[in-house]
Amino acid sequence: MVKQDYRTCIVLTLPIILLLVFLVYPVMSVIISGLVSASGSSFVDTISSDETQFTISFTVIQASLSTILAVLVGVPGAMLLARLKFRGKSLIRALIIVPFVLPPIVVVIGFLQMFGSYGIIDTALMSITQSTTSIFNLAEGFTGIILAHTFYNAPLVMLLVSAAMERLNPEIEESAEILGADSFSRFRRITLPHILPALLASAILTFLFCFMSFPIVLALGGSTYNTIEIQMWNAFRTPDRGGEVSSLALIQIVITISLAITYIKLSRGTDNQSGPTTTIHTVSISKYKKWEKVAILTYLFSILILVGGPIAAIFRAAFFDPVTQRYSLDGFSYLITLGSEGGIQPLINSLFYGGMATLLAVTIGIPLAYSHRSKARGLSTLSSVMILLPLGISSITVAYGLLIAIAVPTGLNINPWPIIVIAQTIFGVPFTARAIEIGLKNIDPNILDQADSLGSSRLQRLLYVELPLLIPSILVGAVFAFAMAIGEMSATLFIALPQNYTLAVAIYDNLGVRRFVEAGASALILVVICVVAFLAMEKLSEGSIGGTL
Amino acid sequence: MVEIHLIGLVREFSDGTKIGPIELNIRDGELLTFLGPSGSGKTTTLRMIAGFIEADEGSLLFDRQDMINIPPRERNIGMVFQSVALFPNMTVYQNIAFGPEMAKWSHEKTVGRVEELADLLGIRNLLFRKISEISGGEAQRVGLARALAKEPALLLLDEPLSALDPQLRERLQTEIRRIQKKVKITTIYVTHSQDEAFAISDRVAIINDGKIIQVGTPEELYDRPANEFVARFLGSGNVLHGTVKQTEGRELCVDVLGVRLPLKGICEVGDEVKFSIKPEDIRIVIDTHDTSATGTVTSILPQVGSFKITVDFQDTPIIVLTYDEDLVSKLRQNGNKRVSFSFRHNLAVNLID
Repeated sequence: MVKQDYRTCIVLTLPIILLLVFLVYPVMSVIISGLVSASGSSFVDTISSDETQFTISFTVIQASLSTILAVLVGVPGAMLLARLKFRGKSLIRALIIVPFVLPPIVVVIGFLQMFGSYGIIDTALMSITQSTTSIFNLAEGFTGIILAHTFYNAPLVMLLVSAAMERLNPEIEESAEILGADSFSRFRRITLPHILPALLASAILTFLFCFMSFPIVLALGGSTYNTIEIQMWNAFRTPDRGGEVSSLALIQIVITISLAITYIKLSRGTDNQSGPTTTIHTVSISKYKKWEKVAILTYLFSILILVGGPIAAIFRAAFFDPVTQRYSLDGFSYLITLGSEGGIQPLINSLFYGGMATLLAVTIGIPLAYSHRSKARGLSTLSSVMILLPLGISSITVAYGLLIAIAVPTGLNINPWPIIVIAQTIFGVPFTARAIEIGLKNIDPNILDQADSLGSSRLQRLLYVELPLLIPSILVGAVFAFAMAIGEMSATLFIALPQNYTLAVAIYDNLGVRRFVEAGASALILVVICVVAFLAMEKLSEGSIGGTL
Repeated sequence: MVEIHLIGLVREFSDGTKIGPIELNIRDGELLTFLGPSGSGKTTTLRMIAGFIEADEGSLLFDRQDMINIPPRERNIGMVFQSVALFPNMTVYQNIAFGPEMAKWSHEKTVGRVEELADLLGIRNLLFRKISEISGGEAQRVGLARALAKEPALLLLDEPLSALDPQLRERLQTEIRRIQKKVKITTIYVTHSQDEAFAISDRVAIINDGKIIQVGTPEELYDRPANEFVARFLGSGNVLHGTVKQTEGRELCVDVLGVRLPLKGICEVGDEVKFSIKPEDIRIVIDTHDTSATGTVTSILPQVGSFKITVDFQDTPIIVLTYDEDLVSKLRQNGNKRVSFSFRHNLAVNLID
């Protein structure tokens, strides 16, 4: 018995050791080299330079503005989602998660095509005003960054806040109503205090994502807007600025980890609330007053433009070249072209790296989920830290750490594809581990006791009872990890040499050399892959993928 | 204090269930209970009175004033929900003071009212606790205090005690009754428990399939159920069939369990009638002759202060309540299983639909 526990422990510890080697050690190396600067400016030099201070303030400002806008857009949506009765509600609720699985660089393409120069809105305005030059561009620059961040995070706020609203026992609001509270007092005194933890949690998560956002700022911001991530990227590409990269990483880690801890504390609070005792009352739109109907429809229309517009615009981007002003299939012929100018190699790389990373993320995720639920306290704490660590560390930091601590000493930087796979695995593990953990939680313990009582060994029980029951959750985690890996651009761009480019990196590359249809067609392929992945998850998890966040 | 009239109140739902038409008067200051099985429409009817569910037809009068188009918050109602639904983000005091505060009472008046109710319900020591720090029974008292705080004209209680254990439930029933009588507030109480309804009510309205089947005091309902549903639901019923006959004195009668009983009511000779007989109105006599008028004892269950005896009479189980220990001990001896029946003197047969 003791021997068996010992063996189980080793199996459960293995993923933790892997993560220690490939995540904690590289990140620690970055921190240490930031403090004891090897080359370039020291930590003190970096943090006291005007450039860094400007960068930090800009990072905070853009993240704060993005968060405020995401909350302003998300909360009304959450209220409608929780309260309004309409046909296709479950479909809408499922679709809300789509922006979240779309790769950032694809969203960049959609934004440029929808809101950018010679984009859909611009073209329409030009034809109305008979203008021959571009007159409308909200995609590039500061507005573009904020809008794209809102596109990503407003749905997140919507999802988390509407879930909290649905947990509010409707009889509580009815009590307030019968005690004489009008709808405004009910919201202020009852609903708002109830959703506040979820609202704060989603705001912190949004802030965290925007704080670490790389592809959107890089592609939409141009050279003007420096966030910490962008400055790290620029310093990395310049010789002798290694110390600066490490120092910036250290600054970022301190900020993001403390935010991540706050988020986890807040979301624990919301997890413990009990579900509603009665089903929530929804109201169909015909019951609303006229001005309320107008407000609701205006809101839905804006959401459609802001969130639906860029997604739909990707289709146009795949066929329409804004430079030559004509439609063609050139983008797709690029995708089947071999050689350094062609798109087939990045596509193959994407699928190969993504597949490898998914396989690894599942292999690590299963024992990690088990050890997270294990009764040994140290083990479960350690594994939850491992699951949540990638949330608080930016992909640029991870990539830089892997490069300096693993790739350079081992010589893997000559052909760094294994490093790319490791990076993508690290970002995939939280999703597989979380999905499998939810699956484990949903297994009725009586079934396992039943297996024990029928005389099965620990291993037999695992093979014949638990794993078969876990297969849907494993697949959900795998699909999620694959979607994340295939859309990953930041770390891959950081690590990859041209022969390692994935589709996501190639899109960025093509944008840089103004090959728009090629970028558009690649983006469409990524959208298709992600949407198929999303549909598979939706099918497998029977509509509960929101919980994986 | 208010008198309530429900006149032809109807509501149909998209899933096909229908409530009403409901005709009911609730007298000023009385406690009336809606009693019925789950899904019978009692909570829906209550929610129509509260205003949370709109009526398709009919009118709802509070002291002759129609309330149909008035929102719940202006109906001057206090309500305790099944889940009690205290505001979790407020203290006990803040919960109770919520209604007065919404009605813009002065601070002094509010404090006075909250303290008065806290004393009445014995929760003064809880006033500054959080909702998460009070027990289930305490929560019910706070819920009641909150509902009564702004001095509503009507109090609605939707199965408020269903989540509590039996002893606590009984104690709170007594307390609700005491407070209701003291405050003299017109009250509608919803429950699916007959014991609770009978313990607490001035009158009971039996509801089934969205309709009011019978209204009356607990005694009236128990002694004279109007139909088979009420008789069976209240357990007051051995429901039996018979043919109306005529005695030599030209009086109507019917044969009940081998005994001829006189019959009153509107029926004619030869009619097939249904009637209910309460278990305590039947006596049994040990009878060794195996005639058509005897039955076989199938079970004897001791209850508090009595025995519940089931007799199989012509394939119909007949329930009899007896206090006669000698009889029971004789019945328990081997062989004494054949019994015949007799009735309390002057028993009138209660015809039912």
